[in-house]
Formats: sequence, structure tokens, C-alpha cells
Amino acid sequence: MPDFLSHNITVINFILINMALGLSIYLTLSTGLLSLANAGFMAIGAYTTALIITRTDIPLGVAIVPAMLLAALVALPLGMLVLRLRDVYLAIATLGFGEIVRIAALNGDKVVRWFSDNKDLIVFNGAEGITLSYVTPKIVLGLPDSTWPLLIYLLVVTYLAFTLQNSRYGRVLASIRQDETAAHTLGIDVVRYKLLAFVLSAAIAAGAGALSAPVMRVIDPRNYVFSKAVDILAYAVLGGMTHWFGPIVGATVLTSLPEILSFLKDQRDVANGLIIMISTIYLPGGLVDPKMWRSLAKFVLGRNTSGSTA
Amino acid sequence: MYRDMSLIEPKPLLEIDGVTKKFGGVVAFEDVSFNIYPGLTCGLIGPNGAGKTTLLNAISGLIPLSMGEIRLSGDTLSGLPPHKIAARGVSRTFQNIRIFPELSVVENVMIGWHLNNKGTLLETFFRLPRSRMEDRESRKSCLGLLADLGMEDLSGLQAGALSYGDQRRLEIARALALKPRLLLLDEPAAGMNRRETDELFEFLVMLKNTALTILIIEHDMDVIMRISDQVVVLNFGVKIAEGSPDSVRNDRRVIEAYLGEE
Amino acid sequence: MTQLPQQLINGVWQGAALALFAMGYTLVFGVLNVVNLAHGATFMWGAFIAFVCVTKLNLSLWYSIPVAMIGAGFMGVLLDRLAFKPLRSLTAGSLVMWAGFLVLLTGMLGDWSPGTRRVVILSGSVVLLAGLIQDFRSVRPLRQREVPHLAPMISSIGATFILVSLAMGEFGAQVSRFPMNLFPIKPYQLTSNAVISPIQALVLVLSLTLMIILHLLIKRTQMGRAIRGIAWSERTSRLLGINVDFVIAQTFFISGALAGAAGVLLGLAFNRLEPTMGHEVELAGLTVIIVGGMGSIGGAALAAFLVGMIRVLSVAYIDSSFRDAFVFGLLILVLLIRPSGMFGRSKVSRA
Repeated sequence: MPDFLSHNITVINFILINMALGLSIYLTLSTGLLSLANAGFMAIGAYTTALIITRTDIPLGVAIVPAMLLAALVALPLGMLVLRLRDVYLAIATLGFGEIVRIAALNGDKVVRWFSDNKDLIVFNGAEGITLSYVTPKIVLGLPDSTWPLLIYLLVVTYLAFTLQNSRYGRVLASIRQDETAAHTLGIDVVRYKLLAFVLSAAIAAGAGALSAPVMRVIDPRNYVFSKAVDILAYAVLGGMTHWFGPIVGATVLTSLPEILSFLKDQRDVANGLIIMISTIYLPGGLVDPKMWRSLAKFVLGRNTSGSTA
Repeated sequence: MYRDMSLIEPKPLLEIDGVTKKFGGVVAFEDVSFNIYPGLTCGLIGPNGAGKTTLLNAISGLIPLSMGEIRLSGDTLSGLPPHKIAARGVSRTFQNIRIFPELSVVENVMIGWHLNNKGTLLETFFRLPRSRMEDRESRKSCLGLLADLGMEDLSGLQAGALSYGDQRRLEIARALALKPRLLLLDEPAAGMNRRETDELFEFLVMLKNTALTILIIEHDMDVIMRISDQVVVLNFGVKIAEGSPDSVRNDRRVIEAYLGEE
Repeated sequence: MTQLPQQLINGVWQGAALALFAMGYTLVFGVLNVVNLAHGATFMWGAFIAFVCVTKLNLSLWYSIPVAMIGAGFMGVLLDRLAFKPLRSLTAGSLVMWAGFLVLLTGMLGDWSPGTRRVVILSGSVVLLAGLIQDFRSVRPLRQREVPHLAPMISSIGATFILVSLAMGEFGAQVSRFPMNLFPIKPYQLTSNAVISPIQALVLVLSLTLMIILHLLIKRTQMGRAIRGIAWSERTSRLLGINVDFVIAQTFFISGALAGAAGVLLGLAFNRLEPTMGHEVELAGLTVIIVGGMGSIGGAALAAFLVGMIRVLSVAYIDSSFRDAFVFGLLILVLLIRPSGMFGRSKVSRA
């Protein structure tokens, strides 16, 4: 394995995870939904997978399926309840959901014990969380075995996002973002499409959470708090919310920036906060804003042609 | 002419039956009834604040009625959400243009075409033949529709970049993509200059000749009187006259309430 | 059930402090239609400003509270000018402010010698202030547009992160405490099985006083009329010659000062200050303003007592770890059943 890879494999793994998370929130944002529930769904995925692989011999690649299904099953009724709320109200309700997931993970054992005869039963293990045993990384085809599932998952999710954006589904979701009422009178079942985006987004976040379990090794409620939800949001805001490539760029920049600028390490939150603020105010379309790049290209090329005639 | 036609065609397409809408204590319209027969164009006129747009919103399901019923081909529309009403063949344009500004012109029309697509999400993800074929076909049909409106050159542009008159035309194209039985137009000529209005008028006449049923709100009396088979006049939420353009034009109450002002 | 009277008393004084927090929260929403998620950070900074006054500057508590309120009020104004105002209209002043703000942050966070640090912070502050003044004076914005969907909320989330991290850098992540001898601790016996400590009584009295002052301010003064006017229609107010930007700044000042007061009071009552203390009250505060009806000051005050009571009772009778679950349960319930709030849809105009 090349030196660069072996030194930075953790960062690369986290970039891959965060790209998938960024794509998950892109789905809801491109429908005009500000949902902050993705950290919660990520937690559902991570806990489910961690419980399965610590207690059974089921491999990670299979354990991801129930994790994603469970998140989708939770997202469906939750979405039916909260998706008729708009803007701020939706954000607050989904924030509340994230908190409830955290509280559930923290206190889950109390509930489990209440139903079980074993009064010392440990499942979620409260604030300490679930620890996965250390497995020495193996190199498979030039990459560590922990990276392959992440890479494959990211490719699948990117393919889905790309296909979706360029299909009639993507058009419909974009139309809902731009004018919900007009879309509704054009025969679009707005609630159904919002639900579709919400459930897909939840499943994708849960999948990323599931695959992140072996990378993080310790699954505890602190990893999925409000600030994780905001991290995920920041990927999409910085990268841009109108193109699937946006969150990919956003996640890469925000995950690798603290590593590149190592003096920022202690100030990750300040840097995140600044990036969120500055990009909302000064880069409203994000880094990947086709409109901005097009006008920039026109500006530069226009200059060039006028320069050549002069 | 309107009365004669109603004898030949006894079943109305749209029945507005004693409808009332109140917002709190404010009455938008009260006990309004009239029918629109298939293939005819009905002009809905009245001074500002007469409740015309609210009535259109009620027909397309955006607001619930306080009383009364609206029927399409005899089936009630009450309680149906807007997308189901659209699926039954009612489409509309808005007084304040509501195109999707970040989509391209043809994509806007494709949103209107959307109900014709049957491909499922899984077919889309795996790019199965049906979804790809549907996509090609819908693009082709929508380009054709734009060509009918003389907008084929604009199809690739972002809709938000269009001129005001073109945005209005795009909104009509989008509504037509739904293949409606009933088209609701809310002041389609508002903000247009004389030339654009004339072009729009020609297009509306062409639409009328395709036997499409139209309910049109318009302040341009000239357009209304020339295009409508039937005119309904609302004033302060009450229907004060109904009939052929000529009879309405000569109705004393209409002249008092509306034309008298001009 | 013998402890019920005691729990009710606890619910009332905690509810009163929560009401201070929530009224400022809902005031900004009423005027700007913006949920300022950094309100909890302002709350936390209010508490820490008083803490610095007491421990570093040796001020008495009676001076520290107003200083904290004024400090938090100015923080509110800065927040508007950095996070929200540029979204409404971006001026050259906003750019200068941002430049100053970045210099200030570099000064506070960078690895400098104390002397350099002071110079960098000072110059950053000067530039920031100059930008602020310029921003207030400028009439011709560089960019003015409809505020994009969701942008203010996202921007205020960013601001929260910065404010909390700054506090972490300044005061550390651990819990800070006021000196023990700051306040008498001998409780007053109210009934045979209910007591209230002097500090809790202070929280209650001060909160109620500030609530009455806010009510009079909104109802009786010229400024209050202007605030209600903008809440009702910004355009009309502008046409009537009201200096909308200035009134919005005043609103943010009041809102910040109330949050600061709530921060000091709750910080004193629990004697527990930490940079993340805003999160918890943020979530409780969101519940309060939604239950009370977004923008309704009176509704927020009533709902604060309800939420305060629920928090106290769920800790006393069920399990402390489920406290927030109950608050969120209420939040989601109200959102679903009556998104306009339990206490009506009234806006600031009917406060």
C-alpha cells in the first residue's frame, strides 16, 4: 500500500462515510425539506449493525440490510407525521427526533431490562456505548478491507443520486422545492414524493452509519448529537444543494480541511461554523453551483475573446 | 349562442353548485352557481377582490369550500387534494406566475407531463427500457407542445431567465402538458404588451378550436368578450350576471358594478 | 406526593427563567420570521459574562446582572448584523464587519503571545465596530434580495458553533461555578414541606419583573409600536418612515438581553456554567415558543411555565434521563396537532 494511503486511511474512510451522509441530506434538501434527522438515522444504522456483528457471525455486508430497513421503517411513520410541517417547523421536529434517538440509546437498557427478567442486561450500554473488537486491517487489492465496503457503498449511493437527479423523479423533487403549490396543481402527489425523499435519505444515512461502525469501533450516543446533524448539513451547504456533486465536494473539503490545516484541529467547530455562515451568506449556491460556474466561465471566456480581438 | 349549445349538450363538464368560501368572518364568495359545458370557454370577470381567484383556487383544490359543491362530469371534487383534481383533468395557470425558475423550459413542461409516466422508481434506478423510453417520449412531446406555442428555441433555457410574456406562455404550455379537460387561466394576459396579448389571443382561439373547455379570468375586456361563449360576473363574491358576452355587456347591473367604473 | 408542593415551586421558578429566554426567542421570530438558533449561545454567554464580572472584575452581583444583559444584548445585535442582515441586504459595511470578525477570531483562537493577541483582538474589534457603524449608515446595499429559504436558520446554526467554541476556548469545557459565598443559601420555609432558596426567589422576582417591563415596552412605548408594526408588515412600516433596520437591531438587543438575563439567573440557581449549557435550554425554548405559538410573547410566557413544570415533574416522578424525551414529546405533539401553538396564532402585535 502506498505511503499516502496508509497514513491517511482513517481520514479517507471518514471522507467516504461523510460523502454518503452528505448525499443523504442532499436528497431531502433538493426536495426543499430541511430535515436534521440524518444523524439520528445514522445512529439507528450504527447501533443496529454493531449489535448484529458483535452478537452474531453475520458479516457487515449483510448486517447493513436490516440497519437500512429499520431506518426506513422508522422514517416512514415519522415522515407521515412531520412532513406536512414546513421549513423551520420541520427542522425543529426532526431535531427533536434526533434528540429522542439519542435519549433512547442512552436509556435503552432501562427499557429493555423492564421487559426482560435479567435485570443486569446490557444491550446499548448507555453513555459508554458498544465497542467493537479490534481487527487487524488486511490489504485487499491495494486497499484496506475496511475501505472497500465504504467505497462500494459510496459508488452505489452516488449512482442513485446521479440517476435520480437526471430522472423524472429528480425533476419532480426539484419542482417541489421550487414551488410546492404549483407542483401540487400539476398532479404531483407532493406528500408521497416528500416521503420518498425522506425515507430514501434515512436509509442512506443508516447505511453510512452501519458501515461507519467498524471504522469508529466505539458506538456511543455522543457521536450522533446535534453537532453531527449540523456537520452533515454543512457538507451540503458548503458544496451546494442543487447538484449531487455538491455534498461530495462539501464532505471532502470539510473532512480533510482539519487534517490539512492541522492547526485548525482544536477549532474544528469554529471552522465548521464559519464555513456554514460564509457559504450561506456569500456562496448561496455552494461550491458546486452550475449557475455560478457557468457565469464565471462566461465571464472568463468572454474576457478572453475580447482580449484576442483587441 | 351559449344557450343553444347547452340544449345540444345537456351534461355540463364543470358544475359550480352553491359554493361559499369564508375566511374567518370575511366572505370571499357566497352561493355562487354556474355550469360550464364541454368545449366552451367561460369568462369569469368582476372588479378586484370579487373572489375570482379564490374560486379558481377552490376548483383546483388549493382551498376547501365552506359550503356548496364543485363537480366535474358529475363527480364531486370536494375534499380531493389538488393532485387528484389535476389527475381528473383540471389544470391551471396562476395570476402571479409560478413556473419552476431553476428548471429548464422543457423540464417545466415535463413536470406537467409527469402523470403520463408509469415507470417506477426501481425501473428508473436500473435504467430499464420503459423508463428511458418514457423519458425520451415525454421530452419529445413536450418539445412539440413548446413548438405549438412558438417556444421551441427557448426549450433549453432556464425558465427563470425568460421574459415575462414567455413565462406566461410557458405556464400555459405546462398546464396543457397535463392534457386537461378543463383549463383554468388566471389573468393570462396580465402584464403583457399589446402584441403579446394579441398573440396570446390567437393561441387561445386555437385552443378553443381543439374543443378544450376553458375557464378564464381576465381584466382585458376585449379578450374576454371576443373569446368567451359565456361570461359570469362576480361582484363582492356574489354572481350578479351570467350569459352570452352580448347580454352581459348590456346588463344594467354589470355596467353599474363593473363596466361603469371603466 | 408530599413533595408535590416543592416540585410545583421548582417548576414555577424554572418556568419563569425559561419564559425570559423564550420571550426573546419568539420576539425575533415575530419580527423577522427567523428562528435564531444561536439564542441558546447568547444565553450561555450572558451567564459567562456575569461570571467574568464576578470572578475577574470583582463586581457585585447587582452590577454583574445588568452588565451581562447589556453584553448579551450587544451580542444579539452583532449576531443580526453578521448572520442575518447580510442575507437581507449585504452592504460594504457587512463585508468590513466580517473582515473584522475574522481578525477577532484569529486573535482569540490563534497561538499568539499575550501582547500580540491583545493587539490582534483589539484591531479586529475596531474593524468590526467600524463595519457595524458603516452598515447602519449605508443606504445602498450591494445585494438586496428575498431571503433564501432556510438560509437564516442555517446561518444561525453556524453562529452557534462559533459562539460555543469560543466559550470552550475561553473557559474550557469543564463546569465553572460562581463563588459559594455570593448569595445566602438558607432557604425560606414556605409551607411545612416546601422551601424556596433566596436565589430561586431572586430568579422568580427578577424574571417576573423583566416580563412586566417587556410587556410595557412592547405595549406602551414608541419602540414597542414600531416593533409590532414591523411584525405586522415590514413593507408598510418602511413606507410609514420607520427605520426598520434600527428597530430590528433594537429587537435583537432586547432579545439578547433577555437571553443573557435568563443565562445568569439559571447559571446562578444551578451554579453550573458550561459552554454547552445553551443546547439544553435551546431545545426547551424551541418547545416553549412552538407550544406558545410562534411570535406570541404572551403565549411563550404561559408555555414556559407549562414546560418548566413538565421538566421538573418528569425528573421528580419518572426518571431524570427521560426529561428531554417528555419535552420533545410535547413539542412533536403540538407540532402535529396544532402547529400554530396551543395559545393561539397571535403575533407580537397581539402580545
